[in-house]
Amino acid sequence: MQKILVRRVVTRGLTHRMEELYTLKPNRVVEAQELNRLLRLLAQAGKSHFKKFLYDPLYRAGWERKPAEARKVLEHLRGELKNPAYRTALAPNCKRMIGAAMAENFSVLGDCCIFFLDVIQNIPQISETAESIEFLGIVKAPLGEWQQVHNERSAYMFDRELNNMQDSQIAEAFEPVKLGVTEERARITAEIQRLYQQILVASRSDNFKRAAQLLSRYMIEYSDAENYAEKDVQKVIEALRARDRGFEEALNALLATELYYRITQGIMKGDLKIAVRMIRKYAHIFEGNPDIRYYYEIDRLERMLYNVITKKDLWKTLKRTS
Amino acid sequence: MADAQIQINDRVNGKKAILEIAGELDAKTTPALKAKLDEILAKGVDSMLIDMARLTYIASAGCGALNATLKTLKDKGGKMALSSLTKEVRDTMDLMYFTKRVAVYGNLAEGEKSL
Repeated sequence: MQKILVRRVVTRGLTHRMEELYTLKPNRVVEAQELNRLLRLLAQAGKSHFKKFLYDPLYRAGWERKPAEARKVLEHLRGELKNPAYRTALAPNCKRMIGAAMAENFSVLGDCCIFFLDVIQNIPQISETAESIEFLGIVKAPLGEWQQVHNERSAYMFDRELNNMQDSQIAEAFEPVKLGVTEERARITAEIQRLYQQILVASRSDNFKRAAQLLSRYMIEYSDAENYAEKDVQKVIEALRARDRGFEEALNALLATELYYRITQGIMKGDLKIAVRMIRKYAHIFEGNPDIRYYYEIDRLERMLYNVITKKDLWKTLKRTS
Repeated sequence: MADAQIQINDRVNGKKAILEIAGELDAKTTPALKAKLDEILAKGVDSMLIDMARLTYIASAGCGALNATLKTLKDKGGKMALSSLTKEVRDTMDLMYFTKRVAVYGNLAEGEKSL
């Protein structure tokens, strides 16, 4: 998709092309975040899936090297993350570490890949390196393929477990969400307010990352709460969008990916209460916007949910509960 | 399962509009409704009645599209009302608190009077 976009804009001249390339930067970070989430889900899906959808593609791309105590290298790189002198060598080191981990075991391979994706997400210049681009290029298609398979299985499991759930458990999933301790809520609200002031003056990249993370957390945790500061959130988003037109899209992708991850993880762990709550939060936050990721997948789960509620004749109970 | 279908009939009279929606409103059909709502809003409508006598399913995607339109209408000082909700649709909209935000009438005639 990104390649197609770049090819199209080339014909429109250098200025447009540079603008489009500029907006590709946060998209690559979002892509790394999505792959990171998928990889964490894949790690829970069993060794055969892990081999087929992660190890094999990396092997075919020629990434495997001799064993070299990848776990120790991982700890070393983690320790050196804040050292700017290590930045230039970080991506090649990650590639070598992943290659060594492939020859060792799946557990360390998973940890090393997740670390590399974390680094790509959090350090903008790393996301531009040849190793990062190569890594994302290798794992994107197979993880996407696994996601398709997994979506089917997830939907099947969701339907089956919903049907097996006690009525009281379903009702519990519809109870108003407990908002946590007041101090925590006040701290996050104050953080949003402070951030709003800071984004006007502080440097661009640091604020975008921090703003997106804070907004994502705040919206997921509190968007259905009575004292949710919707107008303040909108102000912050508008201010950021004014400075980077791709911000809102990136934020929505971040939110959708996180919600989808929590829904899927809830289903995989048999915690349908979390899955149902997150489905409702997705609906609440995105208000039927078809351009948001996972729109159709989550709509399908929602229909299953309502079918079970109807079958079990739970509408009255749920309306009393919620 | 066959894909959901939707039919939308609309009558616009000055700043008032009446829509009749039939079928199912889910992720696949909501964009069609959203496009129609946006088209009607662009005509300067500020009061809208949506009759749902023949609507058999609504997902949060559909409620979201209605909610976005409701916000726009309220910003203009206008309003939205619903009429003839089937039990299935009423249950879902109650659960999403949407029926607390708009007036709901038993039938189209009652709704029309309120516009």
